[in-house]
Amino acid sequence: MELEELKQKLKQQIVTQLKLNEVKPEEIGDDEQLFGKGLGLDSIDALELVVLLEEEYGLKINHSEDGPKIFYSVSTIANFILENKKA
Amino acid sequence: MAVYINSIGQIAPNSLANEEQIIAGKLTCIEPDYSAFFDSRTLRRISRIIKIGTTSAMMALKNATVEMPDAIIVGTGFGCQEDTSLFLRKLITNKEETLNPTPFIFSTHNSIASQIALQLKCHAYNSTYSHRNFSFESALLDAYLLIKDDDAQHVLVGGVDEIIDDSFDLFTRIGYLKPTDIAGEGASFFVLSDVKSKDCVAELKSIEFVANTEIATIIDKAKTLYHEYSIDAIIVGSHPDHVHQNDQDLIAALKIENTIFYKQLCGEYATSSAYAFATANTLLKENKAVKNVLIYNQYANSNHSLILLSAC
Amino acid sequence: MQNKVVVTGLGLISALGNNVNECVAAFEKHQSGVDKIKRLKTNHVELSVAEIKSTNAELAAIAGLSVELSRSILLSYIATKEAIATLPANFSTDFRTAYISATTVGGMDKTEVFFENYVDDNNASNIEFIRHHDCGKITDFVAKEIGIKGMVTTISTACSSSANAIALGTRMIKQNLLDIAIVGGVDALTKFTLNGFNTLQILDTEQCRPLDESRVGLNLGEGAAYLVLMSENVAKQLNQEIFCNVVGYHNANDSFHQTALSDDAKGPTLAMQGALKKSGLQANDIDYINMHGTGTRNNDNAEAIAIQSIFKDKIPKLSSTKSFTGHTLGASGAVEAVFSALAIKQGIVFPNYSFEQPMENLTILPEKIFLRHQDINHVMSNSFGFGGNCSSLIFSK
Repeated sequence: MELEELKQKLKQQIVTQLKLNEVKPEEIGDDEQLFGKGLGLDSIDALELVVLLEEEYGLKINHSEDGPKIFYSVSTIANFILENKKA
Repeated sequence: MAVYINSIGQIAPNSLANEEQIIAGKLTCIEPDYSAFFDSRTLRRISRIIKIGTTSAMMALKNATVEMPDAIIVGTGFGCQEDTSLFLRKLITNKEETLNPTPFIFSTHNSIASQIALQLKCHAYNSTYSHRNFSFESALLDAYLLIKDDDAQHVLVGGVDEIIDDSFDLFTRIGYLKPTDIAGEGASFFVLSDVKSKDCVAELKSIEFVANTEIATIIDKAKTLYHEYSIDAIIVGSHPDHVHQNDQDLIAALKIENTIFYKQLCGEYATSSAYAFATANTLLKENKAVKNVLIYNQYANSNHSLILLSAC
Repeated sequence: MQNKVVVTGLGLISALGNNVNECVAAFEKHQSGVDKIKRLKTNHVELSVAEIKSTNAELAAIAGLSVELSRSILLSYIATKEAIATLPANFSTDFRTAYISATTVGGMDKTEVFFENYVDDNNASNIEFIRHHDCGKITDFVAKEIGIKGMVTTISTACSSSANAIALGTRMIKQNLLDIAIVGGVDALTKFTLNGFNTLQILDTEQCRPLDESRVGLNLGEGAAYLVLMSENVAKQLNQEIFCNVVGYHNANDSFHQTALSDDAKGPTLAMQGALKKSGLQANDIDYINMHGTGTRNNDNAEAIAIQSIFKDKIPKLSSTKSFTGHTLGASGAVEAVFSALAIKQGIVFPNYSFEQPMENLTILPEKIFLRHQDINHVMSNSFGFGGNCSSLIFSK
């Protein structure tokens, strides 16, 4: 899957998984910070994103300390998926 | 020190419910627009019982013009069933893999009391009772003790339960809901204080609940209260068309004409005595001739409670 | 005039043993109850837990009850019976006696078995299992078995549940509304809680390491513990052995997050300060703290910050007994109250199972070895839970 296509898909999935009803997927910037500032997600959202990656992409994230790096933005998640899918 | 009931906040099935409004054997809450009570980030996560409970609590505080209570106490017989069921079902279907944390987090019984604390940024005493038909009574007793012991001035206390498809099915099959029962749900919250607000009409005089006891003993206890307070109205937990034998016995023994039934209004649920507590308040407000109201509630012929309110 | 509240009976079943003495013996031999999952039927065999070794059939045999009951009822009954062993037969009829229990998931062990078939076919499971689901069922059942005819109730404030049961019983005796209160809590290990905590990524697959910089999470446990509380006068009248007094209790809310404590540990700080105030003691009077100490990054850090801010440079001896018993959730407050009572009565200091590396930027160091014959006069026990529910208790000689 191309990176651009993956990013758009991820935005849709994030909005659905986290029930961000007031957010339109296209409004989320590729490099926008998801946690704390930016989209303002919190630690429960991070755990929901772990489930999302496992359910939709078959990727497991076991060490929660990796979370902040991987889940920094839509781009970092997309890159993580592409790198690990190849491997 | 007196314990005053200074306000009510309630979300219940329409109190004017008639047969037509009972849908498939259930009376469900008429719910407000929650956007006035929660930010969208909170709203997306919390289940219906947390919305009903928290919103009723906020209404009670507003009605009492208390911004920050000294204690938050919730009674819930079955707790957050929707999230419990959601997590349990996915756990089994997905064979313990890829489970969402959110329903688990909000499945705990104390989710309602803690959501209220979070909304208020309230660091005070916070407790949750979950004991069938004693859940609200226990919360009420705790509130009463805190005020009497001078540990708190304003206590937010309430009872809340929800009916969901799974529990309706299972409770019917197991007999918690009898064929003549209408299933119900609701949230009734109150601010109890050691000082009387200008709209206050009632004082909590006595609360007692006992297990494994015969109705005869309860009738004796009720008679003692009757003589001490000259009770002029009694509220019992039955539907007027299907009055429980214990209720009939108590009514006959006390010979009180003013008898009020409420299960036709809110349906059958574990914390419906909180609805009765609100009903007692309304009665004291609307009928000035009534001075002392007794609420009787029972479960399985063995667990009984008596709550006494007086006009003030 | 307020009554003095004393502890006169203890009952405990945990992964360490089926009664109080067996559990203490395990500490003395430095045997942790934590191991890989053996009894609970789950796919998560990679996780370590502190299971009670007995099957339901074995527990039913010990209790003399039906094997059809929930595991929570069996555990609750066994620990309750041990606690009330020295009470006279008329304790419930001639005295104002309440039974105040606590649990987080009640009879979930039955419900989750029921749902295995229920999800596919509404009529495929044994509906009788559902009778065990709610928290109140356990309390009602045990209360009836032991002949309680007075007040019964159940508290469910997550991991602080049974600490609050102890506080309620204490308050009611103090205010002379009760003579005797049997207080405590229970939780059986279930797939529901195991998977729930697993989604939060706070379970350690190995033996947990509370208060250690290398800690990565908690081990769930299971168990039940009950204490008999009564007014000092009734205790004398009934010629009861007194373990300790309950002198302090406080319940506060962290009001920060559903599952995590705040960085400044507001809730834990308020709970400990409030309990000290109620007891009339100074911080440096406390000889031992039985910490909540779950072994998660978040809890231990916040709890240590709160302890350091209150006790300053005079930190009492402290440890997390959860490194032996696992985290027994709704039972944990009572399990640890039993240890606190024993610490005072028998001069015991309970250790951490292991400790190597102090937490970064923090100074607290847990005890590493089991000690007897210590002069322990005042013990603080902490219980913090989801939803910000924080409670502290203080017991005195």
